[in-house]
Parts: sequence; C-alpha cells; structure tokens
Amino acid sequence: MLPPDAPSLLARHVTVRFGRHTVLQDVTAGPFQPGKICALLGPNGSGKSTLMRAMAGLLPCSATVTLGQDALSALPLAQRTQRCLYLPQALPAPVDLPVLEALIAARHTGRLHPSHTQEDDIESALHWLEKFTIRDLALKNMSALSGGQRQLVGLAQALSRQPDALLLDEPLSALDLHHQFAVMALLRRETIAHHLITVLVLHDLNAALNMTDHVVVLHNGVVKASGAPTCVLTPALLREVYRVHARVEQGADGRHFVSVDGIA
Amino acid sequence: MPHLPASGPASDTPLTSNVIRAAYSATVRKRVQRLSLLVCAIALSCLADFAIGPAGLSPATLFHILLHPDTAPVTQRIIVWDIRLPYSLMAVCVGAALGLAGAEMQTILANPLASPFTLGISAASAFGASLVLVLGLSVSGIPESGMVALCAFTFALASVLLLDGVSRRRQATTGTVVLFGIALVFSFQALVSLMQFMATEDALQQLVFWTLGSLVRASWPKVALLAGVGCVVSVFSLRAAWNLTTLRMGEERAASLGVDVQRVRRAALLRISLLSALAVAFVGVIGFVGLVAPHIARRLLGEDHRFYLPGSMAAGALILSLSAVAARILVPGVVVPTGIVTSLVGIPFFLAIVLRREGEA
Repeated sequence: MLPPDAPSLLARHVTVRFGRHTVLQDVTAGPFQPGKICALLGPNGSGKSTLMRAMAGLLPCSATVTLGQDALSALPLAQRTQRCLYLPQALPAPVDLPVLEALIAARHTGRLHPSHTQEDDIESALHWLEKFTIRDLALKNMSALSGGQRQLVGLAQALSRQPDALLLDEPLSALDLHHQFAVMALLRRETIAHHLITVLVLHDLNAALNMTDHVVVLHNGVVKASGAPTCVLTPALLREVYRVHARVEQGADGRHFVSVDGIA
Repeated sequence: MPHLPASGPASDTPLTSNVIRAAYSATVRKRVQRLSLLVCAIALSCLADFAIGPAGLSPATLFHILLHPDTAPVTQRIIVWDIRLPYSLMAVCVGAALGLAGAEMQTILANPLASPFTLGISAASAFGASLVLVLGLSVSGIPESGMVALCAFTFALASVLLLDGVSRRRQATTGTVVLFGIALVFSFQALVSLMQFMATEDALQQLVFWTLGSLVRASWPKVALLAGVGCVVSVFSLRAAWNLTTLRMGEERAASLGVDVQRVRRAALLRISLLSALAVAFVGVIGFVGLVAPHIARRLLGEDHRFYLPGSMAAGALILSLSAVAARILVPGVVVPTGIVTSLVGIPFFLAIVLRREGEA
C-alpha cells in the first residue's frame, strides 16, 4: 500500500540539442508513479538515454523535472542525484578496487553530509551485495570481474544510495538470461517495498510486456505512445516504430510475447 | 520469483559477513603497513642521501655536525646544513609532489601513461622558466625566482588545460592524449632550444640546469615553500579522494552519483599545475617519477584514493631520494644530474607499461 503522499516523477518540456541536431523536442514524460516499474522503449537513437540523462540533470537542456512538489531541476547536482539517480549504460571500469570499496565509494560520493561510520559503510555494502547475491565477490577487485558481474555491482551501487527515483539505462545489457530475470525480480521487490520510482531503458520487448507496469515509447525524439504494455505494444506501433511486422501473443500461462514475422 | 544465484567461482568456505569484515580490515591494515614501510624506506634513503657525498666526511662526523652544529667548523656546517640536508629533503619534496601530480593526472585523464613529464607539462614549465631567464620577463615587486615559478606555473596550467580539452573530445582515445602530450613535449623542447640559442652564456648555463633536472640548487626557502604547498595541496587532494575514486570507475558514473566532474577535474588540474610548476621551477625537468610512482602505489595499495594518493606521494619521494643517492655514487666524485638517473630508470618502466597495455588490448 502506497503512502498517500508518495511523490511521482514528472519531466516536462524536455528539449535537448547537440549542435544543430535536436534529439528531444519538447518531450513530456511521466508522471512516473512510485511503486511501479516503467520501461522506456524505442529504437536506437530515439532519445531514450538522452531523456534519462536530462531527467537526472546530467545534460545541459531546457526541462522542468519535478518529484512531487519539489523541482529537481532547481537543485544542485549532488542533492539532485540523491533523490533521482541515473545508472549509465557503461559498466563500471575494471579498476584495482575491491567490490566492497566500490560500494562504499558510491555511498560517499557526492554526499553533502557523510555522517556514517566505516562500520555503517561496510554493513550497507554487504547488505546490497547480499541482495544481489554477489557477496562472494566482496573482496575481489573490479578488474577481476566479468562484464555481467560489474553490471551487478553497478546496480548494487545505485540501489545502495536509496534514491526516490531510479533511472536505469539498459541495466540488463551485460547479463545472461537467468540474471536478467533475477535482477528484474529484485527491482520489482525493491520498487514495491520502498515505493521507488523505477524507470528503465529496455530493448527486450518481452521483458517490457511481462515485467513492467507502464511503457513509454520514444520515436524520433518525441513520445509516440504511453500506457500499459499490452495496450501500447500493438502491431501498428511495432511496425511504425521498430519497422517490423510483429504480433503480441499470449501464451498458455498468460504471459505475453512478441512474435516477429519479418522486417517491414 | 527467481533469485539471483551466487556469482563467481565456487568456494569451499562460504564468505560470511564476518569473514569479509575481517578480511577487509586485514586489507586496510596491510595498506597502512605498506604505507608505513614506504615512509621508513624514505627515511633510510634520505639518511643515505645525506651521508654519501664527495666531501669525504664520515657519517659519524656528519651526524655529529647535524646534532651539534655550533661545535663544527663553518665549511663543514655549511656542507651539512646548507647543502646536504636541503638536497636530501628537496628530493623527498619534489618526488612527493611529482608522485601526487602523476597520480591525479592518471585519474582525471583515465590514462595510465599520464604524468607531468610524459605529457609535456614539465617541458611547458621549463619553457615558462626560460622566458624569464633568457628574455628577462619581469613584474615590479616580484623577484626573479618568483617570476620563474609564476611563469612555469602559467605554462604548466595552459598545457594541462590543453590536454584536458583533448582528452574530453568525443573521439579521443588514450592514444590520442598520449600522442598530443608527446607533441607538447617536442614543441616545448623546441621552444626551449630556441631560447638556448638566443641565451647569453649565464642564462644558457641556468637553462641547461633546467633541462637536465638537478637537485644541487636546493635551498631551505625552496624546500619550505615546496613542502608547504605540497602539504596544502595534498589536503585538498585527500578531501577529493572519494570523488576521485569514483571518477576512476567512469566519468558518467561519477556524474550520476553526484560528482561535479568538471569541478573535480578543474581543481585537480590546478593542483597538478601548481605541483609540477614548483618542482620544475626549483629543480628543473625530472622525468618519469610522476609516471612510475602511481603505478607502484596502485600495485601496493589499490585504487582507493585515500591510500593511493599518499602512496603515490611516498613512492615518488622514495624514487627520487634513491635516484639522488644513485646520482652521487654512479660516477665517483661527481654528482650526476638527478633527472638523468630518473630517465634511465623510467624509460624501461614506461616501455613496460606500454607493452603491458598492448598485451591487454
């Protein structure tokens, strides 16, 4: 049950230009609701990552981003990232740093008033490593991990900051199938338990159909459609946006999947 | 609902939280021990540097003069207090400054080949100094030595800003930055050569001192200034340690965690310029210390910048202090310019890093 005052995230009038090229044109996205997972969908170059960076305040752009009554766009970066955290697509670099310390560093970084003790830091790091069941990696250097393991550490870093809103840019890209499902399940649990606003960029439409509550489809820098996944992902939209002939079907277990017949 | 399976290789003894806590505490203790060992090694090297020299004074005599300067003849007192001691301490201060500058450069440029020497900052500083020495640039109220430091700093800062600009270009790779740095080295070396060509005999002698890099002109005021600036700068560096550690994991990741990357970089560039310029203004171009020291620190202490930064300072101090000892004993009776020794040691190390990176690629 959500608290009545749980804030939602809303980005309005987002316009981003790189030189003369307009990537996003007066986009309004949201409100993204607490306790829900929303997928940002769209083909390559449609502006998904750019929208996320703009919402997180990591790009110079004109936009009004609010979390409940609070105008995030008016906050300094350090305060803003404490409320609304963006996890980039690039994996954490393979540095000579134990995983435990990578999490402790993430907890300290950009903090305005770091008041916790080292014992608190270790406790928190172990808690999140445990949640991702990568506690056994705690003492390994980041440089010794696989890409997928580094992605899990990156996710643990992000969740350990306990923001109100999480913007995850392709958080499953380096993970095998099993880990993709497991991470989505963990995100679902955390989102519900802590009334998180979770927005993620996905390329896997089946994951979007079955594991998210809401989808926003971007195409050529504008929001093409928004709503419940099964309502939004229609053959007409898939043809127009992804340029494929495809159908959304339902399996015997009630799960939906996209069946692609060919390119349009 | 699926759960994440354990990752990584299977282990006979599962890592409980307590085991991890104990192991991490042991890691931190080991780092402190290694850092302490480095400091002890610096003290020993400094003593050796102090005790060895062409004056023919025994170590016992030297230490007697050090402890009881009033009882010693004037010449011996001068040798101990005004030559040997500042020389030894200058090696430590310059080494620490270059080590710290190199460590911060490698972090903010995300480039293991970055150092004030390899990327042209030292050469730029030397050119700045040469402008004062040869062309006699002056500002009323600032003594010549101050002008040398100021000009060296200005050119160091300019070259660092150029490098930063190149490293932030979208298509810039590690190789691009290194090549640009090499271009800076050659450009400023050519300009220094031009200054040498135009210089009077006196100025030429001073310029040669700069290009070779030597500790022989160490003096107490210089040691005090460099130590003071080094202490202040290192406090600011350590305050930025967490942000720098996160920056090592990727610029975008650091920004997403709330690091004002541009601000952190600019502050680091200012510190690097200050340290490099003062080191060059006082002892000339000392090569490779700023490159090698961070690699040693990384190997010994990892990349948690709370340890890595002081470790780079300590490693730099030790390398230069040992080089100063070698400079005295390489050719009997002659003190070889220390910059020559560090280059002789540094070039193979530089090649090793390059080849290792090629292997990794």
